[in-house]
Amino acid sequence: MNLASLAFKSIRHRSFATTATVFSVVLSLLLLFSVERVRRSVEDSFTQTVSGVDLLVGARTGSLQLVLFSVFNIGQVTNNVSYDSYDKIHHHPDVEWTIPISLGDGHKGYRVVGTTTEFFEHYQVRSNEHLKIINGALFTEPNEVVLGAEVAEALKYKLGDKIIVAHGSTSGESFEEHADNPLTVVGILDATGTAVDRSLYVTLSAMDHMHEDAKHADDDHKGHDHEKHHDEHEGKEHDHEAHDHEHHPEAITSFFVKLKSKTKILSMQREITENKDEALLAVIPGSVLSDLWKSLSSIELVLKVISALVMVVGLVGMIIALMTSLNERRREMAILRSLGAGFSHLAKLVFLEVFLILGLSVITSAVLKVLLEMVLTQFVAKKFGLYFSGPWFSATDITMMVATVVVGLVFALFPVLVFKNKSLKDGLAVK
Amino acid sequence: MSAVIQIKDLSFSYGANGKPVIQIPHLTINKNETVFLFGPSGSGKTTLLEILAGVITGQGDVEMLGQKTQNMSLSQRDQFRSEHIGYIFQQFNLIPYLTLRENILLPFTFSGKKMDQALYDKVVTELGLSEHIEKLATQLSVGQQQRVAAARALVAKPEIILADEPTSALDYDHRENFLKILFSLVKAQGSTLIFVSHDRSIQNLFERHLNLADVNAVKV
Repeated sequence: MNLASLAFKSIRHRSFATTATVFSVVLSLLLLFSVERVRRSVEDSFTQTVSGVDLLVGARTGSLQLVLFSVFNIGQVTNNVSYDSYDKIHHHPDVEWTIPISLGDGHKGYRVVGTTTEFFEHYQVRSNEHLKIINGALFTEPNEVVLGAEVAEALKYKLGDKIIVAHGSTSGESFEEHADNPLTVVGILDATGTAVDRSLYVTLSAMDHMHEDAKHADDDHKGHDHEKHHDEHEGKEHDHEAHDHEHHPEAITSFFVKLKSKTKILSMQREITENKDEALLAVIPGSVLSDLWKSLSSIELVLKVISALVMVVGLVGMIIALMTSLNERRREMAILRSLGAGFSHLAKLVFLEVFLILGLSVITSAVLKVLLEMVLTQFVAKKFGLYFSGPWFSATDITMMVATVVVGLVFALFPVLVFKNKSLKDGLAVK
Repeated sequence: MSAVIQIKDLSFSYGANGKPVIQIPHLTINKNETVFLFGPSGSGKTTLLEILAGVITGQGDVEMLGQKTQNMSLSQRDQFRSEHIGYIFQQFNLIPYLTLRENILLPFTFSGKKMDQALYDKVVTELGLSEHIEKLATQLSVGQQQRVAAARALVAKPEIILADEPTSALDYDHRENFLKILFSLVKAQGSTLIFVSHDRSIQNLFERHLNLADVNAVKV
């Protein structure tokens, strides 16, 4: 009989203690994996909320502010970009495509975004994922609306429902509603885990219509006669596709720009910023977002500290379990010594046992992690907006697994050293 | 006749300042001797066996097979024991989760000695353990456990066999069988046997009868 089979039989003999130890190590590893997964997902959904665009252009304001209201719907829009400026950049020879964004309305706490179909065509989240319509189709008419996944889910809207958009407020109930402009739900987007899920998308002209109507109704316009005229002239019934293409709003909030070549980003950024006609600001959204994430590094630190604490607690539990089981085996170890087992035999035996227990724990937890993630991906994405992207195991995960085994083996050394110095007489005594 | 064990001025006490339990000015045991060691309870019989087995150490000189064992380190004594001594403990000291067979063969796991299959078969058969050989130690009766402990000490072909009341839990038939095989092995292997017992009815089997009270200066 070799030592490995002796170790295996010894573990099997203590199957209850072994199971309890494995269970506790697996639990703490799983907890560790979850915290790490959440940290990765939060970082990803934060820094990769928008990708595949080179520049974000808006009226001159803080670059962070521009990103916050254009991408996350946080903060106030201070100024608009004239459609003329947008159009000029849109037709710039270096520009591949643009996505205009027009903000200002909300629906039951969710923001309404006026945009074009280019948004659905080009906007990307998490590096390379395009938006997907899972139900229905894109809008074609100004009285049609496409819903983000969370909006549809939370408000239980389905295709064909009529909804009314409120002016000005994107959060909470507004007292000022575009009641005369009900929109029909024509499409619902797949969940992305980003701000896209929490938005409603309408055509640019719809945005304009509603505001003209609102201005009209409230009499708080600034005397844009032609707008009024425009509004009366068109009317809701009057809208049709052909017209929609011709129609364009006076101003938009901001727009995303994709250039034909990455090398042009900086020169284009300078060109836009130095534009004499209108005070504009162009930022690289990805870099602003990662700057922001870095400035929020305390969040990341908190998650990492929690991870570390969880790991410490898990390992302490494991060590206590090991120590207890090894202490109980004082007599057994003494018998082995009386039969000629030297210190190196006992050390090998204990290491083998601890290694078997920890190996089993690490493998079990890794398998459970993968299984749980496979099962829970959809649920977590829907419920918490967290997406499991990237590899199954991050470098941190692997470090945790290796550290568990190494720390466990190091601590297993202590009881062995105790055995070494205890007299055999003491060990053999029946206590 | 060569001396296997030579004791000179050996003393032992429990604790640093404790009263000595054993003080033996001189004791020699020769090769191939079978010694029946007896004495009243508490006279230090087990203590003496433990000193000889290297489980504990005392003051003075103990030379076994030409080696001074009292100055050896713990692991040297472990090594010496596994190579030269078969110790049948008063408690049987079996590993509960191993089968009878595995318990008997356990010393080979550590000593690296080659096991003698014929000897193993003979010991197991004569001690009446064949039919239980795959049972776990915990499934055995006390008498069976004692025979397993004895078999474990014999199969390793030790030069010195130290037996601490090895027949205490055996019925008459098994005691007879046990003693028969013990003596046949001792003779065949040229081992030296020190046998501690209260059972004076078997003392005539032994060549030498040693009353510990006679050699121990500490009087109970």
